[in-house]
Amino acid sequence: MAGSEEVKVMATKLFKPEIIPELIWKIIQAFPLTLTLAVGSLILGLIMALGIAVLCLRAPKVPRSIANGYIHFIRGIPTLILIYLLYLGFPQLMKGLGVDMSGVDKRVYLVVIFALAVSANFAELMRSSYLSVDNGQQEAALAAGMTARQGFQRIVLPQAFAVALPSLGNYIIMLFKLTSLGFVVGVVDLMGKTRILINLTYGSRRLETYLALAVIYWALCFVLERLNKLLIKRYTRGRKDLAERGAVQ
Amino acid sequence: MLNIKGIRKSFGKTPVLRGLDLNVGKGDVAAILGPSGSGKTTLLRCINFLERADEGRMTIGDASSDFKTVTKKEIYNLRRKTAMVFQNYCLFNNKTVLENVTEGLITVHKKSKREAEDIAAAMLQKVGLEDKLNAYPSFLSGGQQQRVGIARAMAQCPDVILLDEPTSALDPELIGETLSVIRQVAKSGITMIIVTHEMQFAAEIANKIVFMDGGNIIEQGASRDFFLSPKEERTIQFLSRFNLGNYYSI
Repeated sequence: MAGSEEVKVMATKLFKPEIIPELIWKIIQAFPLTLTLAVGSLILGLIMALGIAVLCLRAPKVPRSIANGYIHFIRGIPTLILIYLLYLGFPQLMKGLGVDMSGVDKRVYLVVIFALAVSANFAELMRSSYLSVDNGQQEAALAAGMTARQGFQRIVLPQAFAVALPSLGNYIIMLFKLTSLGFVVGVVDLMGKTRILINLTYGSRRLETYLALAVIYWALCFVLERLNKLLIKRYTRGRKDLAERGAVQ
Repeated sequence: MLNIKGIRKSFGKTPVLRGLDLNVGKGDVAAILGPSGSGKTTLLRCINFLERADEGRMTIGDASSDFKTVTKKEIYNLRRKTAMVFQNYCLFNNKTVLENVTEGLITVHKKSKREAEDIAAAMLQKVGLEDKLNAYPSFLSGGQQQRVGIARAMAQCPDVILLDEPTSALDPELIGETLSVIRQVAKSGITMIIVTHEMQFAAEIANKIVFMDGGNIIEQGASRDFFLSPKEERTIQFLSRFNLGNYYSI
C-alpha cells in the first residue's frame, strides 16, 4: 500500500501516466472476486433464465403470465436499485419475520442480485432463439425416427444456440461490467479496490487510478469479444444467413 | 404393406379427415391428389404421427396400432417404418449434406459412423450429389436440397416413403431434376405415397391414384382407370382442367 512518502511524491505532479502500470498491477489483484461474481451470476442467471423460458414456452396460462410478468418487472428496474432493495431492504423484511440474514455473505447477495438482473434478458433470448428455429427441423428429426429429446439436443438446440450467440456475448460483457456495482455494498472487486487505492492517496490520483481500472475492464471485455467471435464462427459454420448476422455485430 | 382404417382427425372443431380407409400394397406408388384443404397433407402427417389422428387403425408391415390408444413406443416403432420428404425440404441446417443422411442412421439405426457414411455416400451418389457431401444446406439450390431430402429418406430403408408435395416449393427448372430422382426411386420398387399437384407426373409414375376432397377419399383406383374413366362427378370436374390426351400421347 502507498505510504505517506509515496503520497507526497504523487501529489507533486498533476497527471502522472507513468504510474498507471503499477496501479493496474495493484487493482488486478482484486480480479478473482470480480471473476467469481461474474461467473457465479452468469451460471445462476442462465439456470434461472432456463426455468423462466420454459415457463414462457410450455407452461399453462397462469404460470406463464407470472413468468412474463417477472421478465417485465426485472427489466424495468435499475440494478443499483435492485441491490439496495435486496441487500438492505430484504433482510429488514426477513428480520420482521424472525429470520436473521446478517450471516449471509455479501458476495452471495451480489451473485443472486446480478443473476436476477440478467435472468430476464437471458430468458427472453432463450425463448426467441428457440422460436427462431423452424418447427420443420424438429419434425424432420422425428420423421427420421429420432426421439423428441434427440431431435432437440442434436438438431434444434445447436441451431438455437447459434442464433443466440451474438446477443449472448453482448449480455455476458454487460454482466461483466455490471459487477462493478458491487462496490456499493463494500466488496473489494476491481472497482472496490480502485476506490480503496484512491482513498489511500486522498483522492489525488483519481484520474490515473480510474484510467487504470478502465484499461483493465476494456482489455477483459476485448478478450470476451474475441472469444465470442470465435464461438460465433464455429457455430454458424455453413449458415450463410446467421454468419452474416454475426459479422455485423 | 400399409393399411389405414377409419382414420379421423379434427383441428379444433374443424374435421379434416372424416373416417377414410387407405390400402397401399408393397411396391405400390400411390399418388394422393385433390384440391387444397382436402386433407391430403394431414393424412400423410398422421401416417408419420407428426399429427396425432383422433381415431382409426393403422398397420404398416407387421406393426399395427390404434390411433386412439397408441403408445409412445409404438409411435417410434411405426415411424421407423416410414420416412418423410417435406415440402420445404427441412434439411438439418446445422449439418452437412453427408451428416443429414448419416444422422438418422447413427442415432436411430445404431450404425457405426463409418458404415453410415458409406451408405450415405452411396445414396447421395444416386441422387447425383456426390460432389456436395461436405456442403451445408444453405449453400444448395432448392432442387439439390430436396434431392438430399430424398437421399435421407431412402437411406433409412423404410417400408414406405412419404412425400409431401416434394416439388411445390421449387421453381419450374428445378422441378425436373427432383422429379427424375423420384421417378428413379419409384422404379426401384420402394413403396411410396406422394401428395402432389403435378398431375402429369402422378399419371406417369403412380400405379394407384387416390383422389381426396373435403376430408374424404372420393375415388381411388389404378392410375389409368382414374384418369381415363373417372367414375365420380367430383373427379370428372377436378380432372376437367387437366387434359390427359396430351399426356398419354407423349
